[in-house]
Amino acid sequence: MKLTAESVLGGVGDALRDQFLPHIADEFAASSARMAQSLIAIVALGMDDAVAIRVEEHARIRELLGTGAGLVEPGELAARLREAAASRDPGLTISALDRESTRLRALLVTLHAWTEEQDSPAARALDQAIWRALRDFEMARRPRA
Amino acid sequence: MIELESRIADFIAARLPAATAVAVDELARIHGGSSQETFRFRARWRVDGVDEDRRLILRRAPESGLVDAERDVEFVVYAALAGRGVPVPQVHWIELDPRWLDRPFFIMDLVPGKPGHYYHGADPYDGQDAVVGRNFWRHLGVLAAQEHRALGLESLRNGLADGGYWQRELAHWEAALDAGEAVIEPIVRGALRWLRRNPPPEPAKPAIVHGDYRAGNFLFLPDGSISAVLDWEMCHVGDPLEDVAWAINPMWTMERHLPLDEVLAIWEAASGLVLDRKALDWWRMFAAVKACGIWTTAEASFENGTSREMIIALTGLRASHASRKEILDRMAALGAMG
Repeated sequence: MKLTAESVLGGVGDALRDQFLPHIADEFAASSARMAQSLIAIVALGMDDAVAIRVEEHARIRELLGTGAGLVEPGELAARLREAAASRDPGLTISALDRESTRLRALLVTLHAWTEEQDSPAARALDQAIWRALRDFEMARRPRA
Repeated sequence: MIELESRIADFIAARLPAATAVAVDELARIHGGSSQETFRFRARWRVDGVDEDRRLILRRAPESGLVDAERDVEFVVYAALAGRGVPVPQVHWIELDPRWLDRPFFIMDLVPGKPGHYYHGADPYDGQDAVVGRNFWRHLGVLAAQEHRALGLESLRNGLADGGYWQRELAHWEAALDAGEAVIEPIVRGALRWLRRNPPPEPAKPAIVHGDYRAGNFLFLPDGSISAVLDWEMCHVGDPLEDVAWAINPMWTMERHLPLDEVLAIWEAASGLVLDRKALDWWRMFAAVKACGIWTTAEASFENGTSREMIIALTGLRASHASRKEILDRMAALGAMG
């Protein structure tokens, strides 16, 4: 058996609850310790699939951006969408993936706003597809404690 | 804590030059609004041979918190609303000079009562939930009926405006999102655009908006009366429906204690206003966006190290998801997802 980040943090949270909390008399400090335990649990349960969630999210955003590139008028926005749709993640660290999230999400916001100003069935369908994707992203990233 | 007790005593002695034997003890930090540090303490002194023994609350500006509040807003509002039908603590002193306690603070009475927090099980109001609920909505209606100019509250945010309240508040929270978001949230940005495309009507009258009127921000007594409405750091002038929508936000709703139709009728009777249900729906979406603005500020202050409050980090992680989920549910109900 090898200790994982999840099991270590889970154990620290359990120790906080069972070994430390009963000895904290101050109400404010005890309350803060309980919240610290919740924080540790949330972080612990979010570690294992953190990379997978971001990689899958980026792939789906690129697909949406690619669809959008085919709808907008040829020009600067279309070029940016095409470039982003063809791009790849720069690495697999959380910090690198989050920087890529920022870049892709900003473009998704621009595309989403564009769809809302259009009056075509294709744009309407893309608008709805973006909202469904956002729902899936949010649920994948939900705190699990 | 002992050093802080001594410094508080020095401050009180300076504010009460006729007092002797000023002493402060039993100082304890309590949870009470996450935007300011809150302490309860006992203060004693003697004036003209008469002993005073007071239970007081100290509200001190944090280094950082959930919201960036003007430091005197809460004190000014408490003072203005005294005796106006909305129960608030009596305030005593405000001090903006950091030489006393390092940061601005004010001191007010400790009001009897307990907070009925929304996550305290099925009966947070000791069997008095219906009575508490009616009082909660009546007080909010009374607040909406106040004239902020008559109370000298023009200094509040939007206090000198003649309209455009929803635009001003939306811009306010969009700026908070712009400043605090580490990774842009397309859900929240989509909601912001929806709000701008579907504007509400101007309010029947500009009102004093508490800004965080909800379960957990008032104290109640055993008979179900509300002894104090607290945590006015986000108070401003705007559409009174902002507070109504905030109070029925699913995260802390008071709606579960009384049917919505009944509470809105209580609010209408107390405010003298007719509530526009379609406009209320707009403000419910706004409430979710505003909540995201607050959680984003919290997240940023923990991330940059200016706050080390556990509740700040917890709201940044947990509450922000709940608010975005609410936006998604509302957008789905509007047909946005097909």
